[in-house]
Amino acid sequence: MSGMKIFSVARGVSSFLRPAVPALSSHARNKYVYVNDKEDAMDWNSLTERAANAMFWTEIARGHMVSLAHLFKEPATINYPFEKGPLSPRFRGEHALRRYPSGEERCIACKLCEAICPAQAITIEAEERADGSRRTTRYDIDMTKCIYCGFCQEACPVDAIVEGPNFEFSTETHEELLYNKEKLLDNGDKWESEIASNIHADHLYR
Amino acid sequence: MGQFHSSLSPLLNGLFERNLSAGGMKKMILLRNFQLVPQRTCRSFSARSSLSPADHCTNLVKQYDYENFLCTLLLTGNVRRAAFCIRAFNIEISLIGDKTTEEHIALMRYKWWNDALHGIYNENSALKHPVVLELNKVIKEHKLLKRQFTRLLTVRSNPIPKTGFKTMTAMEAYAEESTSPVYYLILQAAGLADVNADHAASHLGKAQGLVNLIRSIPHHASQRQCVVPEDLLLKHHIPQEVFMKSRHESTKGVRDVVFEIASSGKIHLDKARQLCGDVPTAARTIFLPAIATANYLERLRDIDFDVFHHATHERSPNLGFSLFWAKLRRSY
Repeated sequence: MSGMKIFSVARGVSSFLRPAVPALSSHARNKYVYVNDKEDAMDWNSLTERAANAMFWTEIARGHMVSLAHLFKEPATINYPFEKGPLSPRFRGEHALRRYPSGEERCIACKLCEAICPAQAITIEAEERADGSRRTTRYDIDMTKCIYCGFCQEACPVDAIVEGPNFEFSTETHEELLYNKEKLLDNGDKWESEIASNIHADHLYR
Repeated sequence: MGQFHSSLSPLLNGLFERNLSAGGMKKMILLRNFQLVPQRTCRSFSARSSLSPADHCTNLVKQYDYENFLCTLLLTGNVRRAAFCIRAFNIEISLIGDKTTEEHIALMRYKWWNDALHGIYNENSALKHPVVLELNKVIKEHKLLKRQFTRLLTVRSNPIPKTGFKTMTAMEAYAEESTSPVYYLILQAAGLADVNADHAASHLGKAQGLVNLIRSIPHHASQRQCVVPEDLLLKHHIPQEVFMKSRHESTKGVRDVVFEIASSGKIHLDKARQLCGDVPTAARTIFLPAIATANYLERLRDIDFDVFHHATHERSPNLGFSLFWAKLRRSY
């Protein structure tokens, strides 16, 4: 209220001209929250209470209770290399070339993945085998060019190239990230069960 | 903690499965050496034995279309093999829509299948895809018409628009085009040219196609797509948004719409079943999926047409038995 009065005095004449205004604004400002430190009460009761709190270290005891409670709580972190976070079945990680259950490689060298790749990370060379089937002689992916868009796996008509669930394939040198066909087929063999379990449906959707 | 453990479990399970399956395979091979189990059992258990293209087709149908797998198992001899192959082809092309995010990429894959079919009919196919190899053999053996395969491909390559079907008639037409050709082809493979059988196949295709679309509502909702025809939505005054939400709840309007689609499917199913008497006995086993379709519709009715209910995803425990019983009674 005192602030209000100073304000009205400073405005001087105008407040006399508009008498309704101070009444209105005092009405609007009657709610406030006191945010400053409250002064400690100095009566004997509170004094002894404070002295006892300081003497018996109750705040330290309470702090210990908090840490003790956290001991029984579920941790917010995971023990990473041994535990891994949730992964979507549609996660697009390291590439792999799959095989049919018969052991024959799926890739038929149609080069659709090479054509669709926006980063031009895939290089394929192909030739015909003795049995008349077309197979790749070279299938290279530059993992440092790849942007993990998943178009290669979408374009593949035989589901040969897939982006598997593996995300831990960091290396020390650039050369190790230039994958060749053996490495990709190896990945396929290693991750086949996970890849196969990620693509599953019980009935047709269309 | 539990949440993180469960998130880890797929990875761990994968590891265990791999170890187990390797161990299991060794044991199987051992047993096979002593001729304690038939060779076929080993073949289906182990991951790394030689699978023929026919086995590949069978596994594909088993994995992606379990009910039709059960029905097809009850066919006999050469027809069964042809049926598995035709169904495997149908599965391959119906999965394309879900595996691709870009329409052009999907078109590329449809074109690939079109070329594969073209190659088979022009006798210059060099594609070493198990389904194509098997198709090649089956088409040569049974002299199947290319037109039906092309119909299947065409209907899938004009994808269901993002806004869903305009009318119920369009939805029925899609259902027929995407399912009936399979039955025409199987009938052709069995050497049955009969007007009544074709008539029944047409109605059964519509019913089964509609049931497939009803079942796919939650799946499409997860991709923010709504397959429900617009005229039904208008009639019941509900927005498409209801079918696209991640939090599914079946309000009365949703149940009413599903009920209308289901009853349309039921009408076609009943029509197909009425024709049972006129259909040649040999063709009746081919139409066994009618039992599976009826089974789903009944289950849907029991949960009051709540498509988002978990029971819609469960396999029916007595389906196998009722299919077998229907086969014995020569009906569907």
